[in-house]
This record gives sequence, structure tokens and C-alpha cells, in this order.
Amino acid sequence: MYYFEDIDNFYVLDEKLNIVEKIKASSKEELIKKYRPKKLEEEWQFEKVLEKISPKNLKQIREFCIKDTKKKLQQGVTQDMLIIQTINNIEELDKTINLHAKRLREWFSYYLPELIFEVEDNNALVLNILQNSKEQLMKKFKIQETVGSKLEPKDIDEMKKLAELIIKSFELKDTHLKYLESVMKSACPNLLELAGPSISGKLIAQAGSLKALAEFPSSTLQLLGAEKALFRHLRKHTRPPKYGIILNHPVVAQAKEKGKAARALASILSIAAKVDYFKGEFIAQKLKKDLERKLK
Amino acid sequence: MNKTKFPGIFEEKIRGKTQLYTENLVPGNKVYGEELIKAGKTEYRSWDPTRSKLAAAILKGIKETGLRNGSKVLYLGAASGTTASHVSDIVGKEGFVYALDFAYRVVRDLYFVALKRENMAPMLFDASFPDSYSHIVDKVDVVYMDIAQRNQLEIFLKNIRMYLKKGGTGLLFLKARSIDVSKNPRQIYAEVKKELEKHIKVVEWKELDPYEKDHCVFVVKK
Repeated sequence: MYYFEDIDNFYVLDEKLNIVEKIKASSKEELIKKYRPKKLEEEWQFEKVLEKISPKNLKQIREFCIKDTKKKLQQGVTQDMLIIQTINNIEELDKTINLHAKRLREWFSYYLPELIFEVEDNNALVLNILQNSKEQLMKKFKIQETVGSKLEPKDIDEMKKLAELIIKSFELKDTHLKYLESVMKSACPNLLELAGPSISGKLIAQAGSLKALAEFPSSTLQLLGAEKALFRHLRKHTRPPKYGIILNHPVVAQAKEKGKAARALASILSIAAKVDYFKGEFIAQKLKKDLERKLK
Repeated sequence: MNKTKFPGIFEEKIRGKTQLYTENLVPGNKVYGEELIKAGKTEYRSWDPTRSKLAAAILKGIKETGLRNGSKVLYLGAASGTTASHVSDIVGKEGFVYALDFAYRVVRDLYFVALKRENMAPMLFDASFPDSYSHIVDKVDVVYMDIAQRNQLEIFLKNIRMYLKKGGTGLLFLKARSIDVSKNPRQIYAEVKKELEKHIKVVEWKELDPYEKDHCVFVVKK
């Protein structure tokens, strides 16, 4: 005996797939107890049964689909999706901070160009501009005299508004990283411990989801971020890339044999991702020891 | 505005080039920023072959699609609903489109497209498991598949076996690079054609250049 379900009925079928009994889906337990029917297995069986049950009420089916899809969409936002949006915004903030800082340098250099040469770090530059007057800056950075022009207070104030925007962007980046740490503590604690929020976030973003990252072989994880070089190697037979995003990890960045380090780290991170996705235990310390052993 | 040999699909020759249109099922409504034009009392939606593989296939000269007024269509890989909305226009009020995709982001867009179209049902399912939607999908006249996966052929055959009526048409849009990124696409097309012919009648196939690079369409009949 087989069974078949549609959106409002439950059917029991015999070996020849004729309908033996039919009942409202809500009462299907009755027939399940009575016949103990099996699920249909072969595609041709479904085809035959659908022929007997056709045609379906399309209006009803559409309403069911709209409800069903709405429910799935509402349940469909996972923590790794939030992680990916955050890490992508961090990368965009990096780009906009650089863009705005370049503009501020150009603009402020009409007033005190010597400062612009002195301070290379954007964060430091912006803080200095906001917290000091021209005289204080000249004293602090030992600038004797300036080739910059005297400008009105309202002109300087306008530049400072841009500086404030840049500071806010730096602060947002920091907040994002803290947020990432807190979300990853529950979403992927092992990856967080082994690679930190930024690299783990980038790996998940490049993979598309934590599930995808967990399902990749470690050789794929090793090359996430190096897709341009990888496909060039596959199509044109140039030399293969050795690392992608994980090059930024201290274990690889500081190694003498970077390729070997990348391979070892990728295999460890791959296991971490799998344990995180399938909700295993916190085994990061054990994995760290395994990594040290691999790199001896 | 002229009719084409395909029911529900229209064309205009603009500066020597053919521009395709479908009749808007929901007059006044745009789905993806396409142009709406009026010819007589009817409103038409312009159909971009660089965004829609079905339009590309038609411009490349396929002989039939199996789509007509009243057709029931299982659309696997409907994504945000751009091409699916044109299929919905073509099959009209008497037809029906089961628009299926697996990814949250695109199905959310598809959901809003389907809310406006009474002949479209949005479905968030994995086409690799056709028995998972056997409670929803009825037998159909056309199975349309545009899913870029390595095993797209296997998924196509499973769905055809379960849901396509006898005499129905299957449209398989194949992305060569999803099957093997380094092989010559023509070689991949030949291998797929050989495999398809073991299971079903292959009516025709066409490459979709220049509209889509390294893609082709197979038209099959059960």
C-alpha cells in the first residue's frame, strides 16, 4: 500500500496505484494507522498517480503557495546572512573612508598642507583636524611656517563636517566588528576563535553561506578570494594560486613557506566550519594544537 | 505591432532589429523596469533578450516553445521572475506558471511578482527533489528549466518524468560553464544532446550567442 498527499487530501493507493481510500489531510492519521502505507519511490509512480488526481484546483494551489512561501521567507533569514551583510558593509566603509579621506586631504591642504604630508594614517589625521586648532597642530607637528592660506572659520568648519563623517565611519566599522564577534559566538564559535571576525566573515561571504563553507573541501576554502587566478589557471593552464583570503591570517602571512601554511590552515578552518555548521562542540583549542603540529 | 509565429509573442522592427513584446497580463504594471507600450487598446511589455534566455532563444530562431494560451508551465529556476513574468503573459489568464527557485533573495522578489499575477504561484523548493513538491504541482504542458548547476541535466530529467504530460515540451537552458568550466562548450552540448537522446526526443537545440555567452537551449518532446 502506498500513500500520496496533496494540499488538502491524503490518498491511500494499492500496488497498482489505484485509489483505495481518500481522506482530508487533517485526518490522515486514521488511514496511516489502518493501512501503514509507504511513500511512493519511483518517478513513474508519481506520474501515474498525478494522472489520476489531475486536474488540481489552481486557485487553491496558488493561495497555498503564497502562504507557504511567505512562511519560508519569514523563517529564511539565518545568522550567516546577517554576518555577510555586515562584513560587506565593512568593506564598503573601507572604500568610502578612503574616498572621503582623499577628499579631505585635498581640501584641508589649502589651509595646512604640511599636516597632510606629516600624517599618513587617515584615522589619526581626522582626529587631529577635529581636536586641534591650526596653532596647536603647528606646535604638535613642529611646523615652523605654512604655505597654506588664511581661511574663514566657516570654511574650516565645513571641512570639519567631512572629518566628522569619516570619524563616524571608523566608529561604525568598530561597532560592526564587535557585533560580528557577538553573532559569531553563537553562529560559528570555532571559526571565530581560529580566524577572528574579519577573516571568518570574509570566508563566509565569499562562500555565500556557512553551509556552503562547511561543504567545501579544504582546497576550495584555501583559495576563496583567489577566483580570478583560479579560473585563469583552469582555463589557460597558468600556475595555480596558493591562497586567497587566508593569506591575511597571521599564520600564513608570517610563514616562510606560505603555501604549506595556507594548506594546513585551510584544512583546520574547514573542520571548524563543519563543526560550526552542524552545531558541534567548541573544539577550537584542539584544532589550534593540530595546526601547530602540522606546521612543525 | 505584429504577431509572430509564437502565440502570445509579438514583435516590432526598430531600425532593422526585431524587438519582442508580450501582452501585459497586469496592465500598468512593470516587473523589472521594462518599457510598456500601447498599440490600439492593448498594452505590451518589451522583452529584453540579454536578460531573458527565452527571448534570446526565439530571436535565434527556435521553431517551437510549447507555450500557448492556457498552457500549464513548471518553471524551474524562476529567480526574481523577469522571464517568468513574460511566460505568465504568454499563457494568459487560462494558463498557469509554477515559479520555483531555491534562493531566499530571489524568491522574495518572485513572491511580489506572483502576488500581482493570478496565474503564477511562487515556490521556494529545491528542484533536485521533485517529490518534495508533488503535493503542489499538477501535470504540466511545459517544463522550463534554467538552473545553473553541474547536475542540471539530471534534475531536468527527474522533473520531466514526474510532471510533464505525454506530448508536452521541455525547454532546457544549459550553461556550459556550470557543467565543466574548462571544456569547449560545443563539446559539452554534444555530450548533453547524446545523453538526452537516451531518454527523450530532442526536437532541436540552439546556441544563444550573442545574447548569452556559452549557453544553449534544448527543446525536447515527451
